[in-house]
This record gives sequence, C-alpha cells and structure tokens, in this order.
Amino acid sequence: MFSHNGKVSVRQVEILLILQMFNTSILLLPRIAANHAGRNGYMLPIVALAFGIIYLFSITTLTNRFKGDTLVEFAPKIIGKPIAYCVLALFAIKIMITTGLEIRMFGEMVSQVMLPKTPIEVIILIMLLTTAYLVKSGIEATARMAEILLYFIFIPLVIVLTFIIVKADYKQLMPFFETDIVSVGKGAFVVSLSFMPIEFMLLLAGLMKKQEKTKQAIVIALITIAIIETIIIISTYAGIGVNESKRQIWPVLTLMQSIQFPGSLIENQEILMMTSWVFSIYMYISAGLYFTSLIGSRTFKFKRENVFILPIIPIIYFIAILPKSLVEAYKYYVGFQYHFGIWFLVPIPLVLIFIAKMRKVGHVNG
Amino acid sequence: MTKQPDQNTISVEDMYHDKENKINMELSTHLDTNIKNVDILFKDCMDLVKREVDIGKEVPFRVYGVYFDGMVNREILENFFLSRIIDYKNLNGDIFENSKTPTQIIMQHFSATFDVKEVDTMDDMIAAILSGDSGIFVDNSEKGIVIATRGWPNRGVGEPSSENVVRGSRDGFTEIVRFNSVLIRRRIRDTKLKTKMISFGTRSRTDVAVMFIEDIARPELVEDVMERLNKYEVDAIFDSGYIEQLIEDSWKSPFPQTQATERPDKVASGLLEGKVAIIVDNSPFVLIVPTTLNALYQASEDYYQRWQIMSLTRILRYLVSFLSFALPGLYIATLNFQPGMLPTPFAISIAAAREGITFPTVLEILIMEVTFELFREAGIRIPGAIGHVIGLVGGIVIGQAVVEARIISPMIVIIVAFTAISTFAIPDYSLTASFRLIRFFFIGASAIFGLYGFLLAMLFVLAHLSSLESFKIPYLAPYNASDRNGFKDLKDTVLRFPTFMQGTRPIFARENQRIRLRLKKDRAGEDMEPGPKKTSNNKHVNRRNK
Repeated sequence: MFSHNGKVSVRQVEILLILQMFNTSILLLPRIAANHAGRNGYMLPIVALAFGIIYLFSITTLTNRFKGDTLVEFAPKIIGKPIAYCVLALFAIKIMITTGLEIRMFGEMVSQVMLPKTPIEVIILIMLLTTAYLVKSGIEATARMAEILLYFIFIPLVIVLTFIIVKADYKQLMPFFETDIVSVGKGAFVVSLSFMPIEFMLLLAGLMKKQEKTKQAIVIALITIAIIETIIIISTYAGIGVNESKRQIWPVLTLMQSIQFPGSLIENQEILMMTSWVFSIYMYISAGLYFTSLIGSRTFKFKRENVFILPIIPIIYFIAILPKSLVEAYKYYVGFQYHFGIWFLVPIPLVLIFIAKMRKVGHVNG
Repeated sequence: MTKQPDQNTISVEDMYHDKENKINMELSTHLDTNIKNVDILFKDCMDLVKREVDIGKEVPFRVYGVYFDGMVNREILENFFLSRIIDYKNLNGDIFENSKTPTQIIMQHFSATFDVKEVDTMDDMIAAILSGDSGIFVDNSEKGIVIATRGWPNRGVGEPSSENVVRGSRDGFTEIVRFNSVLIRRRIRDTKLKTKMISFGTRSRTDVAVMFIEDIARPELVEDVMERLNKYEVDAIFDSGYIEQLIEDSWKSPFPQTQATERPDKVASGLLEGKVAIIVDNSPFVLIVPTTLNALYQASEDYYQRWQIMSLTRILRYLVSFLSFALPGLYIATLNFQPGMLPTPFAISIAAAREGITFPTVLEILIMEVTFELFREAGIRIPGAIGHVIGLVGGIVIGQAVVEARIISPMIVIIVAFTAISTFAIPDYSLTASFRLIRFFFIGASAIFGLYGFLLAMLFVLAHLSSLESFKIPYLAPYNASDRNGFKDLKDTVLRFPTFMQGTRPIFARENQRIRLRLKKDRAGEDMEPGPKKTSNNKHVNRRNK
C-alpha cells in the first residue's frame, strides 16, 4: 500500500514542480515581460512553453534511458566516475547558488513587507532551519507537504485574483500584437527560465513510482504554470499599468497593495498575500536543500539521505547574505538565471544523451 | 535511541514463577499436593475462598474449589454446580461405573453450564482463578476444571460521557473487555469479525482484544498491530492510554496517532473501513488504528443527521480548531508587528482598550492562557456538584477583575475565552490537547517574529504532520495521497457528502473490498439517488417539475 521506498507518485511530482516553479521569479515576471515585450508581455509565457517543451524532451530523453536511476547513478555510467563527479558537484553548486539567491530575494521581500526592523540574516536563517525540518523527513514527506500547501497557496491567490480581474482596466493590454518577433523570442526565453526547476527532474525522475509518466507530469506542470503566469501578467498590467510594472521591482506586490477588499475587513492585504508566497518559496527552498543533500548522500553512498542537510545550510546561508543590497541581489539573481539557468536544462543533458548513445549505455527505447 | 535497561535487574522470576511470571508448578494427581500448592501461591490472600467437598456417595471423590470472593457470580456457581452436587447426594444410582476420567464425570454430571472446560496446567488454572473464574481441583486427576463464573462489580453500559450525541445510540464502552466486544459484535453480525485475545503485562495480565474484519482489514495491518503489541514486556497495563503510547509511530509528536473512543458505533464503522480496534480490559476507551487527522474530526452524529447541516458543522470544526491554536498568536502578530492590517477604527478601539495596561501583549496572553488552563485543570479536580459553579464564578469574577484592575485588556479575555471554547468543538479529546499545546508554540513564534514567525510555525506544524504516519497511513490523508483511491475519500472530509454518494470505503480497506454501498443487482439500471422508482417517461416530468 504505502511502501516506504522513498518514491513519489505522478501527481505528487506534478504538484512539486508547479510549486517549485511558482517561486520569486513569478513576482518579478511582469517586470521582465514588460521590459522585453511591452504591453504584449502576457503572451511570453505561452511562447515560453515552446522552450519548456525543449527542456522537457532533453531531460526526459536522458532520464528515460536510465529508469530508476537519478543523475547521481547514471552520470558515472555515461561519462565515467571522475567527470561525472565534477558534473554532479557543479550541479550541486548551481542548485545551492540558485537557492541562496532565491532565499535572499525572499528575505528582502519579507523584510520590506513584514519585518522592516529585523535583520535579514535572521529572516533567512529561520526560514532555512524550518525548511531543514521538512527535508530531513525525506522526499515522501516533502511530496505530501506539497499536496497540502497547494490548498494554502492557491485558494487565497484565486480569491485575490478574482477581485483584481473584476476591477481591472483592460485597456492597458491594447493594442494587441505590436511587438516584433525577435524581442518576443528573447523575452520568451527569459520567461522560460522560470521553468528552471524542471532540472530537478534529473534527480526526481528516478524517484518516481511510474517513471514512464515523467513527460505527462512535466507537461501538466508546465501548462499550469504558463497559464498562471499569463493570468498574473495580465492582471498586473490591467491592475497597475504597464509602465508601473516596468518600474517596480515587485510589480505583483504593488498590485496586491492596490486592491481593496469590500467592507474593508482587512487593510494592507498584501501581508496576507505573503502567506501564499512564503509557503511556495518554502517548497522551492526545500527542493534546493533536498536535492543538494541527495546528490551528496548518494555520491558518497550514505545510507541516510539527510546527512548532508545540516552542512549545506551554512553554505546556502552565506550565498544568501553575500549580495550587499537588494539591488545587487536582484542583479545576481536575474543574471545567474540568465547565464547559468539553461545549462542543466539543455546543453548538459544533450551531451550526456549523445555520449550515452555513442557508448550504447542505458535502454534505447526508454 | 533510548537504551534498554539492564534485563537482569528487573525480574519476576522466583521459585514458583518463571521469567514471564508464569507458574512453573505442575498439576498433581494428588489433591493434597494441589491444595498445598494453592496455599503456597495464595499465601496471605484472604480474599480467596477455598473449599474441599467430597461428592462421592460410597467411595470418596474429593474436589477442591477455589475462587476469589467478589469476583465470581455466586449464583452461577451455586445454582449450576454446588446445588447439583447436593441433589446427587440425595439421589440414588451411581455414575462412577464407566471408564471416564474424574474431570469428565464432573463436567458431564455436575455442571449445568456450557462454559466449563478442562485445563492441563497449574498456570492456566491460576490465571483463570485470578480472572474471576472458579477453579476445581479433582482428586486422582491430572487435569483441573475451570467454570466461567466471572461476575465482578461493574457499572454497566452507560452513556459515553466524552462523546455525547443528540441523535445516535447512547451505549458507551465500559471497563470490561468482553462487554465491549459484545457491544461491537451486536453491530456487526458477521463471522468474519475476528477477535484475537492476548494478555498484556506480566503482573496485571490484562486482557487485550484485537478486533478486525478479516476480509476488509489489510492483513499486513493486522500483522503490524500484533507485532507492535508483542514488542514490550511491561508489568501492568491499566488503560488503553498505556498501549496507545507503546504502539504509536512517533513518540515525539504531540498529535494522537490512534483514535480513542467510547462509542461502539464509531468502532464498528472503523472496523468496516478496514481499521483495527484494540480493546483493553479496565478501560472504557477503545483504540482504533490507523487514524488520520481527518478521522479525528468525524463524529458519529455526522452520519446520522442530514448532510447539509453536518457539512456546515464540519467546516465550523475545522475553522475553530484552527482558531483554537492560532488566534492568540495571530493577535500578538497583528497588534505588535502589523497593526496596519487592521481597519483603522478597529485598531483605534483596541488601542483605546489597552490604555493604561503596563504588560506587553504577549505577557497578557500568557497570563490569561495559563489562568484558563488552571481553570480547566481545577475544574476536573473540584468535586462534581460545585465544580461547574466554581469554574463559572472563577472565570467571570477573575476575568472581570483583571480587566478592571487594568492588568489585562478586555480583548485578551475575549480571545482566550474564545479559544478555550473552540477547543471543545473538536470531537476528539486528544486532538484538543495537542492544539492546546501547540498554541503556546504559536504564541512564542508570533511574539518573536510576528506574522512571519506565525507562518513559519504553521509550516513547521504542517511539515511535522506531513511526515507523520499512523500505521503506515499518512496522517494527513486524504488531503494528500488522495489519488490513491481516485479522490473518493475527499467526500468525507471538510464536507460530508450525502450518504448515497459515499459508496466506497476509504484507503484503509483492502483494494478488492472498497465498495460498501451499491444498487441491488436486479435494480442496477436505476438512478443512484434515493426516492421513488422513476420510469423513463416520468423522469423528464420529474426534472421539469424540479
């Protein structure tokens, strides 16, 4: 029935992916979209789906060759142990840096909205420790947590978006289709980097109960997140205007501040909306922490998967507090995503597939 | 991991008892030896009744009866056993002609009850006597006789005091394991309802009954329960609470991982869902495993009343249970860290009420929370008749006085009283206790980090619940892993769907036994909805009329 084998179901993978993609980058998305495609930015997520499909194929082609294995097991089979360990180390470092910068951005946001007087270091550290508590219980608990948080994240979001959609000024979106193809393409690529958590599938696919459904899980997650992104971009444009979206660091937050609940039950409802963000960032960080520790424990063949969690926390913490200011953190965050986001989505999987085919390792038909 | 205490330092072993406290004497064919042995074993037990009787008419035929005073039903013993011996002595004829053993003769001719059996060992004999049966030692026999005469004092079947209902049966479990199993069996008249008996505790030898429905409960679950029950060697068990804490999955968790109930209908419905019931002698609380958080929110009455009102009640239960642990924390967080969240007039009125109060909000809340916990605890100890009055007077008088003395603001009294009342809306007492406990965790987190601390505390508790399991079932099922049963289990969660829609058993049951309600075979084509039989013609009419 519930066999304790550290495996997750297809539905759990879908939810995990959706929540991991639903991270800070969504809060910045209207700004990025507006900068690249102006008032037609809302179409970027849909175009970005095309990039998403490329990521999907490059990753699943690789993982389907090695059923039941994670990157840690199949990389050495393809390129030999020394190089494989280098690749794994790079992957771990990349995840740690992304997680660190993500938690920094998150800390800045919390600091701005909720705790202006508390040092950001403390905000970051207690978040990391709370995450560690979940991650130490393993992937099954993490997946179950994701299923629960889904209710907590999306119910408030739907309620708030309903208010926005009703009251919004849709003239902001017009005229349609005035952007040129090149900037749409470029913008779509940048937006598609919000799908980066798909790279976790290099590890997660091997932990699935029905690995043949990897593609289905990713496709559902991608489509869901693209739709949510489009809705968020449209409602931000319609709610606060395109130009305002370009100026604000957190346009979505400004949007939340702009709405007024009927009956003035609660004022400053953006604090309430932070609930959704805190919960979804929590899932992203727990994924970062879990997969880094998974790489560590499986590489060194430790029986307990959670051995590496505590040593990783200080590393992520130092990465997080490295940027001197919010502006610098933002620059690093976007820059790192832009320059390194793609590596484990397409180039490295493709090279691995190529070598695997040459050396004829793995199952050919998946 | 906790270290085992040295095995050799505690032992019940002596000349007449082995390591498991079983008696290592043999039954002797000489009655005098048996009498001597009983005297040794029950030395200084003045409540033991012993009597030697010669029931032979011409040849001596001695028997020796032993029982504990007050534990046996003397009517049974006297009417169905002793009186027959006397009758026989006054009659003519001989029953000692044939080749039967002495014990068989007694069982056939002197006992007018079904429940009489031969036993082979001294240990079985003594165990039966200690449980309230009568033991008969027979001369020239290598076996003894045990007559089921249990009849100790008990309070009878009463109303379950912790789980009252307006509609529904009013019988509750008592302290006697056999009565309790009968209350369950009366509800499920199925040969597949099985009862395994084990005895727990080397000194108390408490009877523990494990009940399950053979073809619904998963065999690995029953095996798991039996295995966990057999793990410890303990001296005595006085309540199912002992067993609960010895078989649960996570001892660190403040949440109950078994469901303890006084209601036989709850246990019966649990058994029909594929769960296992553990009945412990001397405890009116029966344990049901596995349990989920959702199950602890379900009351028996939910299913006896209309679904609309019960769904509303369920929503209310979930809401107030959230408030019961969250409200004080939320109040501290909003007031101290995010006062801007409150509508301005409301914020002003709170500020006005707080004028002149020296303590910080946290301290106010803590003082009041501790006071209320005190009322609760004292309310249990104060003798019944005055208990309620003292509680009420204490609550009102102290509440009023602290507000007037400007120690506490009136808002705090409202919040603390509301949370206290909220906890009583949760059907399960153990769950209430967990919420009372984590309330302080939320107060602490909110006091230090405001709403952010509150949210992290929430995540912490959710993470804990996500990792928690009860007998290999996720504690938060069916809110997670609901796809395992095609999302059907969600029909009995926050909303209680109409009865005819709840046709399937939840995930606890075996996969081939998931259907519990369906149309009869000869009416398979009909609509699942209850109501008069609809023909194909008037179906449209019906719809139009609606």
